Amino acid sequence: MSSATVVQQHSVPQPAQHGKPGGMIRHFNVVTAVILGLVLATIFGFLANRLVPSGATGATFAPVLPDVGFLAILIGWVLGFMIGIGAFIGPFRWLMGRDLTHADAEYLAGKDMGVGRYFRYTTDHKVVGIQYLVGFMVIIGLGGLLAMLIRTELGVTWAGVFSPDSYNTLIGTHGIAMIIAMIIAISGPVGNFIVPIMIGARDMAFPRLNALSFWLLAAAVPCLVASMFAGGIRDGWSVYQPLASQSPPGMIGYQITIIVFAISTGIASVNLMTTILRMRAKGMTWARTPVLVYGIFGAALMGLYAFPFYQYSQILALSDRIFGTSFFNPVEGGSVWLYENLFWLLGHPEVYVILLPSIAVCLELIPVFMRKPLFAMGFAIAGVVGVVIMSGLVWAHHMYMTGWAPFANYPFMLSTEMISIPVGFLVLVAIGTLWRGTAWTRLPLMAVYAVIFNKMIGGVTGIYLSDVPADQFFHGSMFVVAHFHYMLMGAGLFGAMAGIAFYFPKMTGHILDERMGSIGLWTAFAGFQLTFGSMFVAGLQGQPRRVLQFDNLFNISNWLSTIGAYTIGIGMLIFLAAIIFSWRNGKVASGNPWASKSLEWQTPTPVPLENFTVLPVVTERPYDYGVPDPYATAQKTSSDKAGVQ
Amino acid sequence: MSDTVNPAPVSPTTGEPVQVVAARNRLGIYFLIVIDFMGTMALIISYAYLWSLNVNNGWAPPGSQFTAFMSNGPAPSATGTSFAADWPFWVITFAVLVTCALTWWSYRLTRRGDQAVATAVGAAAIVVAIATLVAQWWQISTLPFGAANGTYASAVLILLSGNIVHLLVVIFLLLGITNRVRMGLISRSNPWQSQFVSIWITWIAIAFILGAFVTSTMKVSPNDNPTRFGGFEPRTSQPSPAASASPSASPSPSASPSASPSPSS
Ligand SMILES: [Cu+2]
Repeated sequence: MSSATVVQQHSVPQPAQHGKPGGMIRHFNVVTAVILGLVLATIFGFLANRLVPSGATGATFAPVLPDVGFLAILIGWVLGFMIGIGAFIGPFRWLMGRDLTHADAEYLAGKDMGVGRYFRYTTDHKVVGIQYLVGFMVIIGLGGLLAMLIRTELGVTWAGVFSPDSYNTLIGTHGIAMIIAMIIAISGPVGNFIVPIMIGARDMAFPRLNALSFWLLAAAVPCLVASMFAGGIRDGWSVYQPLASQSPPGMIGYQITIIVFAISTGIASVNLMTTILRMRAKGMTWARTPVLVYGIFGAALMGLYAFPFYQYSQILALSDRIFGTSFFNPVEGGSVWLYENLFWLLGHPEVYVILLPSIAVCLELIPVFMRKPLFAMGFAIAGVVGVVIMSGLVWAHHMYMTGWAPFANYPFMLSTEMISIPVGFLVLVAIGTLWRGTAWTRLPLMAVYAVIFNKMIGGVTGIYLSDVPADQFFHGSMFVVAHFHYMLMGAGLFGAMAGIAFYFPKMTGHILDERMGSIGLWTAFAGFQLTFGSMFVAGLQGQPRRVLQFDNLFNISNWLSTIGAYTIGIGMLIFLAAIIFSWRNGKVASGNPWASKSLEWQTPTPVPLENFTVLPVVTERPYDYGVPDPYATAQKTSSDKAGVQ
Repeated sequence: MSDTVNPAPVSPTTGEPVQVVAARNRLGIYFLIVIDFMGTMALIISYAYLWSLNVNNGWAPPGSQFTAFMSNGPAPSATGTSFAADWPFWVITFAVLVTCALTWWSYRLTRRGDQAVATAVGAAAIVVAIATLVAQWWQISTLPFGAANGTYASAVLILLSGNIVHLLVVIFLLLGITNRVRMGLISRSNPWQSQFVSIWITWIAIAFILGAFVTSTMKVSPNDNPTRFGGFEPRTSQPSPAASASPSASPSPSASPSASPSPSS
């Protein structure tokens, strides 16, 4: 692709190759990152210890040193980790005017590097996709383990396995870990690995930002783990004020995690959106763009406009804690409602950041396994657009009972109930495509069935909660917990399993073991119904959430929930075993094992570094399965006519 | 690639025409601006929300209303504490506007191929930006209140901290872009990065204007009868209800919510 001969006056200066391709970044990888992270964390912690006078107390009479010390350690960790992975080399090179040569860029993309490229600041979107997949599984493993511990404690009333504070920490850490995991569940692996190939691009729009978004996530999550050793996150995933400002330094772990994760999500969103808008192949008009691309785009757009609110809610909370400002401290003029508004301005769109890619991936694979076009694709797109617009208008349904603006309850109730219309579009498109298809029931399609079932229950129970009078009874109960698990886990996680099973052959080169995979899937599904079905009952009977002691009345449903949770755990372990087994020595996949029509399956597996040797041109809509080939028909009719004449 | 028909220069890294890369990068910049805009809006919404509520009469800085004696720092002096002066906000905003204008000018010169002058103008922009940073720091360090002096102080300080971060980013970008213009990497045939920096700085200038606007228009809270949560003040420091000018002798604050109830009553 060299065109150095083009025009003399308009040539761009060619950067010189300094040393070996890649330059400084050759010396950095995940090992240097961890080492430098730990070193800077130690140094910063030591400095904090030196600089903060011992015995100093802050605005809430709590000692200052643990807060400042833990904050310093976490900042040191994140900074050191990012320096150690090589994240600052790009900006530095830009500053010094040492642009990348083509060889540099290829080195950064991990050309001919083998497995080592997965442990570096590698820019190839396929590497980042795999990194996200593994990162997702690690985080969900952590969250799942905590869930098992929670259900262990709740098996009987006051089982006494954990102290109340430890129990609260389990809840908070489980919550936020799972939220992070589910936000990246599809947009991370599938969005990065598949979407650029799906639209016929060679890479993402901003490859280095792509690497940055993953490694920021990798830097953020250890802060969450560290917080468990600094008093924990005891206030649920929403860390309401003023509770959060009074909790131990572990809260700072939450705040730093969110602040860093928000940057990661923001740049990932920018990257995905720019890629989708600017890099689609020739001929890929909006009507020919697959619906998954719409779903990922919608999720990225919601992340883009909503995440800053969440990030700033945590920046302000941290500032209250460290600098003694009073944004959320009512005694000095702050407002806890301000926190709740900032939090839920992300908090609700975030539900759809999780759900939209999950439903979109289902819509993407149903036509492949039903061998028929996507039913009413226009409605699917309208559904995505509707969700994106409306999800920003419903946040205060989480605050019906807080006393904030009671007059606003009914408008928010209306908007919340209205958002079920675009969501309904998406579900109806799925069902319409399933209708009278000839089902080729492979593992991904089974997961879709699970998603539709769970989504239905989650959606219907959500209508009760969106209703202000009903919510007076339901709010703060286990009913709410069961509802959002049906949405985020039942629809979100099972959708992610569908997506992983579907794209596994393209991403790893192996077919995901159907037998083990489906045993895992259905075991988890059965356990899921038991866990959260009986949790609905407990909630209806009035069991409050976030409380580890409950009345004997709730014993049976809690006991069943715990058995169900262990069943989910077993099912997920089987699914994980299927992933690991198939990845290592599963059946080798051909380039297009599902006989799909969309672009990503037309590349060879494993996908070459540049995805396509010649960039493709799109001439058809993506889901024209079983539709007569227009060219063949045209030729046939013309030859028929010729024959007649 | 139709090399002979399309005379557009190509990017050395990806081999695509620079226009294509530029269009993509420009869109990325716009999206980044959306993110930063939403973040700035979070701060401005917080400011306006706390201003409108005046919870516990804690909006205004101490001296008149509320002493943040609970904080660890030295107690603020009762005299001289007030709202921040307006003019530093606007002077600093004006300086950012000058930086912005210089950056655009430098971009125009680059497009015209006037490398030497473009570099000089870029250097001038750097000087102005650094001076602005110093001025911003001076403003923060001379404010008549500290972080713990009520929500007005909190909201102003967080806005100004945001300004500092914005200025640091601007200075980094200006240093890089000017250096690159000087080296000839940003030139007539590929001036786009200079344009992106200018677009970004334009947004930063808007952010400064927004900040200056809210700080100079929203000062005294419109809510002169705020919710009172009380505090930890010693009882003696409170004016007794009997001594207040209120004609109402109602003993219970809940009976007449409009009579400013004090926590000690
Ligand atoms: Cu919601």
